[in-house]
Amino acid sequence: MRHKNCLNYRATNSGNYMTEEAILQGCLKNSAAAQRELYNRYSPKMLAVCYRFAHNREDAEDMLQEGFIKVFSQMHTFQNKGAFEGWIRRIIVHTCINNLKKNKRFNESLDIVHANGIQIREESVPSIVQAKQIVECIRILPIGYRTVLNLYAIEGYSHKEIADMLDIEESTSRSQYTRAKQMLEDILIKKKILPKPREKQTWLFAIR
Amino acid sequence: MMKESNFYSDEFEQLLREKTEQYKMYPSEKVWKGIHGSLHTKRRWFISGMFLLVTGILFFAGRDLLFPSKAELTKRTIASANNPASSTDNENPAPLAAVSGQRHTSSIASRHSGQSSDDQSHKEINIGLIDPAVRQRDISEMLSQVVALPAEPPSIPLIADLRMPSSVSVTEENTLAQTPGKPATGSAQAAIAVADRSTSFVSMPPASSTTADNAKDMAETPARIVKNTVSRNTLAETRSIAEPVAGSGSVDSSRRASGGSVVFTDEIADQQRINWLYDYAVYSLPAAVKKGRKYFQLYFSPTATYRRLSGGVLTNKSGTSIGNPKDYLEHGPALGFEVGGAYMYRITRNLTVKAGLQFNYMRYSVKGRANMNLPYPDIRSPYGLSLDTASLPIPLRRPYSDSKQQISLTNDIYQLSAPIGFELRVMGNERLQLNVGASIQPSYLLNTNVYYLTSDYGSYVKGPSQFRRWNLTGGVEAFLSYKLHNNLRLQAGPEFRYQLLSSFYNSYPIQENLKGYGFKIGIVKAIP
Repeated sequence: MRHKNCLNYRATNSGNYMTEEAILQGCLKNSAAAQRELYNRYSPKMLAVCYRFAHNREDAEDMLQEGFIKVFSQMHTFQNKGAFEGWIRRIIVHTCINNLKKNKRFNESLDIVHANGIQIREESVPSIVQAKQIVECIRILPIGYRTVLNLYAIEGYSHKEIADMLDIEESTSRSQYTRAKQMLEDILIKKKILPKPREKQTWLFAIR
Repeated sequence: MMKESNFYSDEFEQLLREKTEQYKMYPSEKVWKGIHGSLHTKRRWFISGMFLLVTGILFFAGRDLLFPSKAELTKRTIASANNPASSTDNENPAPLAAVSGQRHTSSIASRHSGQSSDDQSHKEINIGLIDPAVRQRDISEMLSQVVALPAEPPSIPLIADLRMPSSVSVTEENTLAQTPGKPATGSAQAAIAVADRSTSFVSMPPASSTTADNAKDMAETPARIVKNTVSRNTLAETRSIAEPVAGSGSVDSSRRASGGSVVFTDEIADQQRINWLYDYAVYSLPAAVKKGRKYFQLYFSPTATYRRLSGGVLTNKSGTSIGNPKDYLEHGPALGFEVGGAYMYRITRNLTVKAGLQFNYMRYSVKGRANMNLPYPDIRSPYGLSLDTASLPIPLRRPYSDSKQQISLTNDIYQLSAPIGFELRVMGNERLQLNVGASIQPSYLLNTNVYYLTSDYGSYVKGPSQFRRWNLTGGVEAFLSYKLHNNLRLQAGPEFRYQLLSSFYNSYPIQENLKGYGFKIGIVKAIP
């Protein structure tokens, strides 16, 4: 009988920079052990990134797999400018975007129409206030809103870069982000993850 | 408002960033498999290609050696008969040749007609072996020496071709009539090959009337020709002589035998008597079967694999013993197999060395109980990272659970090895023998996606990073060998294999040595 395996890794050694360097050198030599180490170290975070873009967990894992293959294939292009994790993250994000475009899951007009009709079901959002809740709330958003929100608010891309990646206008990116943020705020407020902005203003006036 | 709005907006984005950074998800093993497979495709193709190559070689070699087609056999015999060079090879004497259709490269008649007896002090005859069962190098070498025949009389009939399509005059007086196309009959047939002058020959000793019985004896023995293999020149032709006419009595030079017969003059009768032993050795004594030294072996062996574990951390951080791992885990054998082939060379009568290729499929099972109270393991990867316990859907360790749930895992190991060893005959005769053997087997692990034990013997993790690809295995065996027929032997007996190096790298705290028991069944065929 075979079992699926989930791995939990915790780096406890000091001198992680040197360890990361060794991993990098090993990956450049196509060492399977080094590649596994790298994967084990960054896959949890990267899968969370993919999960925010993907339609479901299976799609997220597909994006992760494709992204890491690119990471290992393009390892020689990493020029030690900036953090290694940031470099991996950019590859993963680009892979997610390309995957969405390839599968035609990203459609601006459709998402806008779809977004207006979205109904939030409270039972679909976890009750505990954790990071997972916020991620799940993000995933409730339509794919277009979600993508722009992820790229701008979380990944830190500019609207111009987003427009180039998604083949849309910069103004479209801005408008989509505004709507996405508004929708997400509404969801988080409804779930009591965020306080209502008006209540904050009333409280501020009350203090004055 | 705007400031508050902006501040709130920045806070909102900051909140999103912080929370999403905290969130982690752990992928399934399938993801890594896909990544690893994509990155190391060449190795898989190489392994697959090598496996197919080895399997294909073993299959086709075994089929051709064990079950050669009739067309192939016929082709071999015709080829050896048509190719005098190959037939003069000492190592590979020509097999039994179909006489029909053979080419005449020279004719006795031309040789005889073109020469007078004065010119030729002796007649040279090359005798070729037609029956592979009676080829014998010693006799061939003996016959390679030129033996002078008396020049006179030229009418000594020596050769009658009964099977050659074209008629060739044997002697000047043509005492023997050739019957072309007539197949040799009777048990006493000696084929005499007439070769070119450049070859060295051994002449047939003349027979006298008193040697008619000898001729008759010769007629009664199976036809065989000892081939002269000293000369490398082409063999002109092979002719056969029919059995001598019964009751020939006194033979004179002018005698002509119907169907062909050997006629000896009275003058050489004495010489014939002296050389009777020589004739007997040449024509009557069966030559010993030449034993080859090369063999090919194919074998299959169902096996059961166990494992021997050593090392690991058996105490917790405070130094307290946490018990014997056998109390928590049970390792059981599982059935696998090995299949392979080997090329063997017999050094002495009892000792044979061999080298080959072998594919091993090994399995063993692991069972554990879930109510173990063990500390976290301390496994250090080659890059210094400390690895936590792998959490299986049904973990082996549940410190606070009273569950008695049984967990079972099975590891499948695919291995390619190259056994190099020897076999020694301990006792027995030609038909039934008892042999022992030993071998060293460098091996290559084809798959590394197997479970391996954590250093505290408490959990199992899966992955390739700790496994040693190249390893060394030793094997010993004892078997009975039974001769089925001329070139085929059947072998059967137990064998034992032990992995000399640990399955894991030295940096891994646990050492695992696999050991397997099997029953090998094999077929050995001599390579001609």
